[in-house]
Amino acid sequence: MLKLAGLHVLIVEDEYFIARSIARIVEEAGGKNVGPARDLQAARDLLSGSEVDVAVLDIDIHGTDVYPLTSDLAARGVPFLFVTGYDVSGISPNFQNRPLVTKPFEDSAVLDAIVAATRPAA
Amino acid sequence: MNREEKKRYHKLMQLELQHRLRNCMASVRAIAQRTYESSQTLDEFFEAFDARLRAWGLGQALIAKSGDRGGELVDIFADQLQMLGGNLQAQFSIEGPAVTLEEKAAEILALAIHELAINAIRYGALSDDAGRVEVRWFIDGDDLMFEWRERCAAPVASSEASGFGRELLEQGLDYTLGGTSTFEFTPEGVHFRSAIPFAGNIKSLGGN
Repeated sequence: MLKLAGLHVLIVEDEYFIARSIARIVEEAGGKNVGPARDLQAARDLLSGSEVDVAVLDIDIHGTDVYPLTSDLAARGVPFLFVTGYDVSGISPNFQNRPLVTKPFEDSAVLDAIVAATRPAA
Repeated sequence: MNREEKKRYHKLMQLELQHRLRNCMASVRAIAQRTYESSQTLDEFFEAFDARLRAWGLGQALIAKSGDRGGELVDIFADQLQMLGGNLQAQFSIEGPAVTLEEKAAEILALAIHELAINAIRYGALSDDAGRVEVRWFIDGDDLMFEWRERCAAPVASSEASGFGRELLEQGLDYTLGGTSTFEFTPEGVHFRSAIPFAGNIKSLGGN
């Protein structure tokens, strides 16, 4: 069984080739890509128009923080994780308990973090 | 700044530097991956990857040099053509007002110009001395219109730009800049156009 079989994944990432490389990881694990979204507006449009099971967020999107988007995600009950150039000390304290993958990443680390984010809290 | 403030400032700077470096490494890795996917041999991979890395590096150097982290379009052009051969400039006509691009836009346009030029050297107007390339840019409403038109001496067959170049020009550029680009083959060579929104991409008009 593929690790992300049937899962709808929204990638929010402003760098094209990085978005593409995460999208590839998702597809190879059987997931479906919604997006990717190049900015928060695109992410909101996709959220309201399509099914999303989990979101993979870069933190710095064209110089603005991705954090406001997390309220939209929470409102829809969509879990999320971060794939970012920041390590945990660079992340807002409110979100330090979320799965985090620091760039440059290994494919398996991204995959594991997506799985971890979608696992129901114990 | 007192001692405490200085310490905090340094810590912040360090964090930001780490952030940039890690993002940069992730981009390089993703470019390597994509180049690998569109290469038939190891030699082909290395040649293309090495050139892309140098093109990217030149864009970065220009941004770093500018002081306010931007790049003038005409300078990006000059750097990229210089890298590929000193005489290439002679085959170009370049026309457009002074435009300074934001960092991200400068970075991706350096790569885009590199891909256009590499493709023209391999298959298009720059494959012999008689070909010409007309490049122009101008302002249209809230967009910067950018155009690359090849005038090959002899008609060219619709050649296949490398998977990477084509993808960057048709998708990567628009994804990064939020614009609209078209890449087409004509009997005279490649005709590429891009509408680049000012917002987020253009730092200033009229030069420094």
